[in-house]
Amino acid sequence: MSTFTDVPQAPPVAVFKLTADFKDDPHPQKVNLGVGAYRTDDCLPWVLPVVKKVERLIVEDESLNHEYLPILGLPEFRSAASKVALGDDSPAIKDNRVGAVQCLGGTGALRIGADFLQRWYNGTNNTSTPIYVSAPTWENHNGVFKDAGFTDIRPYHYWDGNKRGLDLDGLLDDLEKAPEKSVFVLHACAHNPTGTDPTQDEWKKIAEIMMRRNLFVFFDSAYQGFASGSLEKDAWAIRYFVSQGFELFVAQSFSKNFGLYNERVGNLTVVARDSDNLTRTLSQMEKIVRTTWSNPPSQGARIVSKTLNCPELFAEWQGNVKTMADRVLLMRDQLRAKLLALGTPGTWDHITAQIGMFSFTGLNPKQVEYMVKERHVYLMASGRINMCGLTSKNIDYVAQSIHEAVTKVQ
Amino acid sequence: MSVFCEVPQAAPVAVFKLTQDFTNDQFPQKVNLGVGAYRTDEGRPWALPVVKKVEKLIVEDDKLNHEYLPILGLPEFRSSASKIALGDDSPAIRDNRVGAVQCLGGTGALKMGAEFLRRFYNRHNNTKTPVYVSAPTWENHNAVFANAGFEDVRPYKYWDAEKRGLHLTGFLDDLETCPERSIFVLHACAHNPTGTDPTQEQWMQVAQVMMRRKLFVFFDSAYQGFASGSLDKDAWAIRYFVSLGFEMFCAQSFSKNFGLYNERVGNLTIVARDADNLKRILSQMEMIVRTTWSNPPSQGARIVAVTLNSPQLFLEWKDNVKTMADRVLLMRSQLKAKLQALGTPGTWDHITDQIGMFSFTGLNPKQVEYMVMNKHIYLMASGRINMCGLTSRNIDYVAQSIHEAVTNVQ
Repeated sequence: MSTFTDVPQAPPVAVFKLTADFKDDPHPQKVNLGVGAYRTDDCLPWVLPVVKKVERLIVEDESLNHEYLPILGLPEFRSAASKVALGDDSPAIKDNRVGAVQCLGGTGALRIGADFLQRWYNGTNNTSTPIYVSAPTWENHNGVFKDAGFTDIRPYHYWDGNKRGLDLDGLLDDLEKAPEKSVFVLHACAHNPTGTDPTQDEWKKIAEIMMRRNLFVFFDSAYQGFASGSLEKDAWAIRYFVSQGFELFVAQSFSKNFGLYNERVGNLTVVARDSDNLTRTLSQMEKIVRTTWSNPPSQGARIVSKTLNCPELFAEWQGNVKTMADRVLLMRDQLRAKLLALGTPGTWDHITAQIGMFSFTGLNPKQVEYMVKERHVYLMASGRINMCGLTSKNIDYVAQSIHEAVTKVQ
Repeated sequence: MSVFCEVPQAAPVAVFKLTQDFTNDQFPQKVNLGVGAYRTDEGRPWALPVVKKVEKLIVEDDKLNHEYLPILGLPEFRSSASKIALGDDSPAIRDNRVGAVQCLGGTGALKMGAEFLRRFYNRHNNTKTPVYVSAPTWENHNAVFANAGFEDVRPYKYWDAEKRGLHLTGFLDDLETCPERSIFVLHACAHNPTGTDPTQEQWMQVAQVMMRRKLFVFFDSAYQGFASGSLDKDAWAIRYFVSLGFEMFCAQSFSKNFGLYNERVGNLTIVARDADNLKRILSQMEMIVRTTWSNPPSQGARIVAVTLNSPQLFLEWKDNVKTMADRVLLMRSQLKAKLQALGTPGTWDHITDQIGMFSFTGLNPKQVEYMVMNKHIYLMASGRINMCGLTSRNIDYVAQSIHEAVTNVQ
């Protein structure tokens, strides 16, 4: 008899199950449009040249050792990372009211932020504060806030399936009606999974309501630079909110824009009213970190820190990021063109209107099933595809497959 | 007005505050006997030669990339790490009932284990299951289990201050009288902070009671190899418990024995009744990992995996470990000899009887204060010293200071 007899089997995480099925598939023309990682036109992972360069510098640097980092992480990483999000000349940084916690990727940053809010926001240990996540959103948002103890996680209107764009009215309405002090998880850019971001004017409307109704701003920024190719452009919403005087959290991930997925490089940027509030907030963050991972891993943070803090390497990195962003834009262009050329029913503008790694194709579950089972093209049940999975070699096959799915399956 | 205005300042973690005070101290003969990290005889951190070698191999291996690791971590790391604890020829491993979760150091392994137990052990979400930690214990044990949701974290008798050794009768008594199914956190070897381990006979007595009373075994193994210089010797207790048929968890840290403190290399080894139970447990572990750090960092795990899985590098590593363990043993020997030569009142056998990085000197808080304030020798208020902080250059000064503390201060 086992102590663990009653432990049920957990379902697999959908996106990883998809990749596992893809791997097991022997079909020669199979395509993986599932998990969100960049691929070259040869459909291979890409270690950024600037990363390889910096890894060599690190291994040759005799002055480095493996002593514990501070609980909050590598200081030069934290400050450089926050600058990337807020801008070098950020007044909030100059006011000494911006701090950061080096975390385990974007997930870790969300989790530490969520743990903090559950303990200290809107009263102490208030597990009832509503947490709003977009409908749809990254599947792990729900899980992170739930495991941090929040009992009331709700969707806010976001994706309009009919017009294949932002449901602005629904979003603004949810903001007006949400209980005051509710927490809203906002995608800073390159919304996952829809690829649909508010325009600047739309962001302004959102901000106005959030300020008036005392809603808490929690940005998730996993694609800065990767979305448009420009770091500044992709950080516009974050910087706008800061300029409006919001206190806010930004969960930053360097998994995608540095291609450092497995080194877990993340940063929770904290913008507070003043340095006193910041100090107390960071001290409590330390306590949470201490009981979760004690102090963060060094390698990835070092790579990012060295790169961001050296003008030459920084420029090289921006070039590498643009390379990735441009390939994605090219694939978007070409996929749309091919669908138009095939005369595939429907409009396909959303493929180029959407931004970032993902596209919400609009394929329904039956059509998705057709794609997977009949065509061996793996995508999420939601119709989300990872544009990075497209290459010059497979794009015709994928376009043809979408054409068949739309015309044959309703 | 800040949303954070009610957030109180958290007290700093004692051991890091100690190091900070040490760093700020200008006194030329200052000594840091606080935080638990290895130091060479020059008082410096030591990057293990085998680690430096493997880091170079990794950076030169073009086959490697930075794609996400599986949620449970690098497979070759997990299996080799579990083998280190349980033995290459472990029958439990052969029976396919041993699994593992790559975690963020020992802390991360404890955290994952605690989160799992809170959800699934002793019925579901039973936050009232008592968790017993030794008196005294590593200061973070309490908080890790409390933050995982356990409401009842209690001490079990361990250190007998009068006889300066294990309080066996108290320990066994707590095992006999605690509620059935209580969880016990056991230090596999080199008890932190006392350096006092049960003998094999004493472990046998502990195991007998735990089996009979259905208590859950949760080993914390942070010093394997580092304690006696022998991996097998230091794993005796773990292997003995496995041989008796316990299901159990073992939180392993490779921070100390690989000197990889800041890469956060840990492993939660799980021994279950059979493969089916193991599978369900691991599936639930994935869920917990996913909402905490998603998947673990690669660098440290790669270094350890490459080392453990190569016979030549493995030998080199064992040798590096022995170098560290031997220096600690030498410092123990010499400190005791010097105190005896000085005629310092009291017995000092415990300094060489105790094992691992730490020694519970027996100095009381006033004497500790004298050491810190008057002699600029930094040690924990409990009287715990890190033997690694001793060197051939400072050991006379430290011995003399202890002598003064004991004779001048009561």
